[in-house]
Amino acid sequence: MLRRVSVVLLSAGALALGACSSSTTPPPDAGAAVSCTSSVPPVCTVPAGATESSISSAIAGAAAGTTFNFAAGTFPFKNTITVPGVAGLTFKGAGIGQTILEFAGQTAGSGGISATLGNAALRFEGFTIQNTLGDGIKVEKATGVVFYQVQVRWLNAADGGPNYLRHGGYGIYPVQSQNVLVDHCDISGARDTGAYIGQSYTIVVSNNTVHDNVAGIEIEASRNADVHDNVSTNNSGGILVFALPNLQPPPDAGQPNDATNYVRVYNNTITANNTPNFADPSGSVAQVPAGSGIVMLAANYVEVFGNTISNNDTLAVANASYLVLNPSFNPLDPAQNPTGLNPFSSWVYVHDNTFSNNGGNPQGSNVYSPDGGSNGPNQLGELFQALILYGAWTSAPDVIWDGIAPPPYVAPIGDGDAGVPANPLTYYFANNHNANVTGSDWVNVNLPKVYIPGPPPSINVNDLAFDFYPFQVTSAPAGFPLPAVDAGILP
Amino acid sequence: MGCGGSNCTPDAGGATAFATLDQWCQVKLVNGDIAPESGVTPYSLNTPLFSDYAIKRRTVWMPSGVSAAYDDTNVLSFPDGTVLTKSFGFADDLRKTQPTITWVETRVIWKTAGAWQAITYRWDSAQKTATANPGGEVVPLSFIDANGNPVSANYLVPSSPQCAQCHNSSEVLQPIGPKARNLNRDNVYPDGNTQNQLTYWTAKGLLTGAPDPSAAPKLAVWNDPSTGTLEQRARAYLESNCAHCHSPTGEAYTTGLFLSTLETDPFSYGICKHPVAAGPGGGGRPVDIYPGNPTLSVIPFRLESTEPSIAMPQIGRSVVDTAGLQLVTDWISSLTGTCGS
Repeated sequence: MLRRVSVVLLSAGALALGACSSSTTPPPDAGAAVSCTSSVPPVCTVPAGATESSISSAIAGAAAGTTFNFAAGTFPFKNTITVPGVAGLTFKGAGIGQTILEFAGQTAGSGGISATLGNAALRFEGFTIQNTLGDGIKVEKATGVVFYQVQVRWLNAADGGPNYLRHGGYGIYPVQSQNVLVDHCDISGARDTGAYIGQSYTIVVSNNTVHDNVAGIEIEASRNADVHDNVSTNNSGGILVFALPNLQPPPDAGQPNDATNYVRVYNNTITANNTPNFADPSGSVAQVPAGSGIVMLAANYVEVFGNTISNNDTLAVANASYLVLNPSFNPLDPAQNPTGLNPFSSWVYVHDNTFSNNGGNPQGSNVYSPDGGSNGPNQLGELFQALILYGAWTSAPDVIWDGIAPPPYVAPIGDGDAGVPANPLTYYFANNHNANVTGSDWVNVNLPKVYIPGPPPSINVNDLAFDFYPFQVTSAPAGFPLPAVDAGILP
Repeated sequence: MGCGGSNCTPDAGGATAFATLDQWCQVKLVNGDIAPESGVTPYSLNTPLFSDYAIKRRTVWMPSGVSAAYDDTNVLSFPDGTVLTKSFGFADDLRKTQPTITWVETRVIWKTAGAWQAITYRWDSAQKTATANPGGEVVPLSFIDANGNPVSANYLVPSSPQCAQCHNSSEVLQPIGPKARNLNRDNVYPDGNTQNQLTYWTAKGLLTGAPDPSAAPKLAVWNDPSTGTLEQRARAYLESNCAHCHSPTGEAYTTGLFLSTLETDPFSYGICKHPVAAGPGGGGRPVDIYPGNPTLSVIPFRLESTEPSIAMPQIGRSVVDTAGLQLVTDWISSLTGTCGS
């Protein structure tokens, strides 16, 4: 009779040998082994000193509902931990800084933990994962994923050191998922975004500290997100709410395209996000000027309230169109815009925030690059810098708009606000504290309107004209306040 | 059953994997090379995946009385009981015609109860026994390449979930290689005969519904200019190395970059397409493929890197495939046109 080994409960320490094997084969690396209970669901104990082979084998064969309890200690990995696509897995450590998954010696795979096989009810809790090659934790196509008290960090120097390429794009990276909670996490050093949630829906990002990344938190091509009570500091940009064309929409029928809708950014502390932008120049995040607090790009129905936004050298809050990043983009061309993304931000309500000391040293081009080269042209930064340095005010405006509006709101260059309705993109502003204002709250720079196919316009500060729009409202505009994310459906 | 002896019978497996490779009775090591057991059919592909210069041996086996159904575009529709194996070995010196090969692993993917499952078996250093290794392992290797240069590789024996990561079609585990267009080629069989594989499989009862090979699609052989144009060979290379993830049903579908040879939209296969979420993998280059300009193109940047956060494919390559990189670079150089911004 042939013996079979169950993949489900296999671990190196319990590896059964075939009936015909002539010799015993020792495990590839000796050390403490993972042990799992035979209960349903199993609980696996990962003792201090457990080897990568033992841990990876146990995870590879995990049954639905398995909890892996990691002891305190440092666990070195050479390969990505790849999570099987079974439901209800929990990876729990003894706490941030207590259980450390160390990838400084990584030589294979991409990223630290990869869970891309469609997990339900997945939970990461109570550990540090550091120095991964690539992203920290990537989760794709999950239904219900929680990151609670997880620290993701890169300890090698981000600026100027030879290892900057080894800083992954994203720290915590759920994509194409639903019911996502990122809570009480600490993320630093990402060469793109600390906590990036993309192409997903029903999202809460709360009580996290994100620092020393290019972007602290980003919600992209997603809907129904609450971003609240986070501290975002010392990044290049504090919080981004973006949509980009040619992304896949979230994985359900509830949203026809890759728009970003219904995002609440509230009660966050967004301060001193002045780290030079060290992103790879290829990505859109490289376009975020250092010194940015909150930037919305091609986002709709965004409510920004109760935040304390201070000491960001370029701007506190900005609204931009995707056309700033790609002036030749024609949103009406199906080849360029197959999902029909609206490239303009609209329906943005900024109220009851506290601003202080923003815009004091606006950064235009991201000339910084860790390898000594240029980080490339930065139209968004140049535009906002020109706007902020325009000089019509003694202190920079806290809330600014790139001024690009959809048809029929086309204003010719240099005519101020002639021909442009007062509020073409439905921006609203109310009851903010200490906001720097010069006659109005939103300012706008008129650009050539670039949604018409043709050669891309250049942005020349001498061609700019500035308008001042009194977008002040005394009560919530239609559609606001936005509803809260239904926390009851979070895992 | 002989467990690797001379008289075993191939086994279709079941819900769980055997502990050792010999229990499958699909392949064995004979004189330092992988040989199919009796009744097991070896096969080869027009353009295979590059795996750190590994030498590969592939086999297919099905229980008697069942066969795969031909499919013009997708992986053949294999019946329950099918067992595919793929063995990975490393030559000591790629210049030698009869190198010494060290076999590292044999992967088994088998179909049971309508679903595919996968596991890999790690060959021991004595080259006697291959034992299930679901957790994977990074294996440092060194050898001499075809130009006489020493190469050091960190070859990855994948964990079982890593198998599923590449063998993923809409969250269903699937074989990748055995598509009609990749199988449509001559193979030399153990009896010394050479025959087109579609014809041979049909004659052996492994395949039904296949047209004459001249009427079936055929993928170019990436390194044989007699089999296709530069573009056809470069796109065949990108399909075999990238399209398992870069397809609408693969893990990288979020990027919108689709690298199957069946993709007809130039933007979708990278022409003037801005990278999405590439992070450091963008290399500061504006688009995936800039016509006529490889140095402005992301794809060659990722093929020429061995940095795991940059290199593509993400799994299974730790050294540069210089010939493949050259092919893709040449193709991009040959393209004309310009990108808007």
